[in-house]
Amino acid sequence: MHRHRQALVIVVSALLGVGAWAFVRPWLPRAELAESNFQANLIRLQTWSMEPPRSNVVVGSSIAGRLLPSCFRGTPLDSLANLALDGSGPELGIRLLLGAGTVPPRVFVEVHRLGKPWHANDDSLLGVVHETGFALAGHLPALRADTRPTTLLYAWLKGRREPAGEARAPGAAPAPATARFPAADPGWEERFRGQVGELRRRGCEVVLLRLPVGRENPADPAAPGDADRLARELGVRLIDVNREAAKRGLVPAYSDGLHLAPASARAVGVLFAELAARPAP
Amino acid sequence: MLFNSWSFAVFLPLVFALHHAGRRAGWQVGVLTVASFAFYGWGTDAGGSPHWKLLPLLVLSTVVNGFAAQELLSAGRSDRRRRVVLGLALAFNLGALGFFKYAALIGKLLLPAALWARWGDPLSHIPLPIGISFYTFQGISLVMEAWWAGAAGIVGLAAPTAAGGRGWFHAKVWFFKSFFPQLVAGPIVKAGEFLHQIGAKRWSDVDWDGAVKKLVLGFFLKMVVADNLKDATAALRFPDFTDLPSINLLALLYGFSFQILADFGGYSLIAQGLAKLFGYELPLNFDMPYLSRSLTEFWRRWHISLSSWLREYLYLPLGGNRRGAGRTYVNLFLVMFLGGLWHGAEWSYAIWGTAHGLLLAGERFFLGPGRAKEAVGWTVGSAVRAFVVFNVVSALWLLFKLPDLSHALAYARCLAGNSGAPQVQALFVVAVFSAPVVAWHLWSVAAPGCVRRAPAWAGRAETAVHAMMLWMTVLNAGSPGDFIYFQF
Repeated sequence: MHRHRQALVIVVSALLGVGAWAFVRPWLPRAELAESNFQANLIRLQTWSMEPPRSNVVVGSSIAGRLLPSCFRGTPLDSLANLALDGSGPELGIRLLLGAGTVPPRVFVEVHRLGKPWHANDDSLLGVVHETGFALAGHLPALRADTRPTTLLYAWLKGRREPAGEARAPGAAPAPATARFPAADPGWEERFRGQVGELRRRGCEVVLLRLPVGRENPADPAAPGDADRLARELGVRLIDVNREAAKRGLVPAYSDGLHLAPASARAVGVLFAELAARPAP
Repeated sequence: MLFNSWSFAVFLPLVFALHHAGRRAGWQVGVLTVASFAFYGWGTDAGGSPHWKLLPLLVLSTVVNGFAAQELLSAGRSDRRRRVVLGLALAFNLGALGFFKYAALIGKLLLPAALWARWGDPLSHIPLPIGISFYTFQGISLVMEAWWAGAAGIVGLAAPTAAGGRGWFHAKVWFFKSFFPQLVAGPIVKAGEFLHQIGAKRWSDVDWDGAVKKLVLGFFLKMVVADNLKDATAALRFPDFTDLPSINLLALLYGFSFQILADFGGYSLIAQGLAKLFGYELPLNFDMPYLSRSLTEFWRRWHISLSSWLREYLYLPLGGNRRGAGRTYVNLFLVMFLGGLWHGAEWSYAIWGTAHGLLLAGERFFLGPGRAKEAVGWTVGSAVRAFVVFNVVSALWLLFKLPDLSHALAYARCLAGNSGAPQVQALFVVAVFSAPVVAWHLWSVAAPGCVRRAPAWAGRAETAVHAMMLWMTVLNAGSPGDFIYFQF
């Protein structure tokens, strides 16, 4: 019996600890940011998949991924689900929506990475939602990514470093950009047209979304003319937050030369929500 | 099958229950052998090819080595016959390893350009059976020990006689070659370390405390430390890293050093813990390697089962240090070169091994064999030496992460020349998830004193820390990933 005692204490204490974490979870803050792209994506996937269905969903890349739920608090897009995944593109988000059975009434499609070639990262993210661990987190919320201890610590430290309202000076010289853009996949437009057609057939309103970015990808179909043409050809609405921000003299700051800094993301989020609430022209 | 997969979470209790359902050694060995082959054949590789297709090679390796060992251990065999058997067995083992692992490298090196143009593609696409380096080395260990022991027999394995014992002899060989905890990534178990342990095990033989502590630490190192660090060190990929500031590049290199230890050390601890559940002991594979104050000491603490295998079956047969200083340096160099190449058919591994070999030889030359091995007590000077060794080892790990030499050189240029604001996210990950490995090392230095002064307190602290690690493993695991050493 003596050779079992320590083992028993270890296992029982750990299980009690997990139980205690599950008990206090409702009072814990929920992390919107994570220390890795994978965990940040997991938070978005779990929020979309495990919480009540949302009427508005945004799909895209890490560019729209910076529009955290807190950016929309108190706006008409308060319950927007964000399926804009780091290292990925809108194609994956739409695939996830189409694979989920019911589609939301409105989907915003970030146009900046429409042409992004499919990558192993997309396969792994697509696979994540079918994994046992993901399903388990649906039943045991303590296992969800938004309350991982180190993720909470990271989000808290990040929040202290960049408190609400504070950001780098607008237009400040960006740090060297780390993102390298692959060439656009030649077949993207045909695939995208198919996805849009399927979403609309299932009763979903598709809206293209153009955001401010620190550095344009020459291969992107996000240039103002291209996005307008695409919207016209597809017969969908385009919300050009970038153009509207410029009109209003809002000069966003970018944390790494590409992605919106937190305070700018909030300002852009509010503007986006305002534009989305307007009736379609 | 991976230890950190859900299928393994079903497999293990099932095998454990079946194993302990019978009390006879034959039943238990049979259950574990069948389970081990199922473990090996389960699942598919990255390309979707099922692993069971790799089973015939493992079976063939087991049969060949089993019959060779039987021949070598049998009484009344002539020297000539024994030599032929040994030669054939070694040729089979090295041939299989060479074909599946090095065919492309050897072909590229030796074939004329015209032939390489024709055969290069098929040679480059020969599948690498998982764990072949590990189970082949165990096979060589078996035949070498049988060669040395002769009719006297290896402890735990005597040749079958006319009266019988053939079935049990081969059952033991099959079990030794396939035991699932160490089948695909070690520790590399030598025949003499394992065969004598084979026998009937009782439930009460299970060292639950030891097993659970090893499993908890192993899973924590793999799933919390290595898998979280992996998400950060993924940025060490050409050309992604070329824009990163120097401080991030250095942090990611340190992070990779801790990741590779947590990944492989974690695997080895899980293997040891699993073996304990079935009443077996596997050898220690890592002994706080980043506390090493010399490279000689590092190789006594890192991947110990490979180092000791190379020492026993290669370095000592080559003459070790008994044939003069010059020959010692040559032997050291050769063993490290081949040890590097053991990791894979890439020149970067050979360069990595060669660099270690040269540094080991240099260390021996400048410090002398005594001081190079010396590892007693801690002073400021020895701490500085440990830090220097850690940096040298980390710099060489770069060749594992960036096997293309031009990429490794680009990294060095960026490390020296890149400026810019630090990227906090990666620094956070490296700092938070490397900290447990650093603490683990420091605790190993402090533990003996603590245990001596306050044994009860130290015991309670150890239990609490293990409970905390299990708690973290449940709540804070990283994205699941393969074990780094599976590719070797």
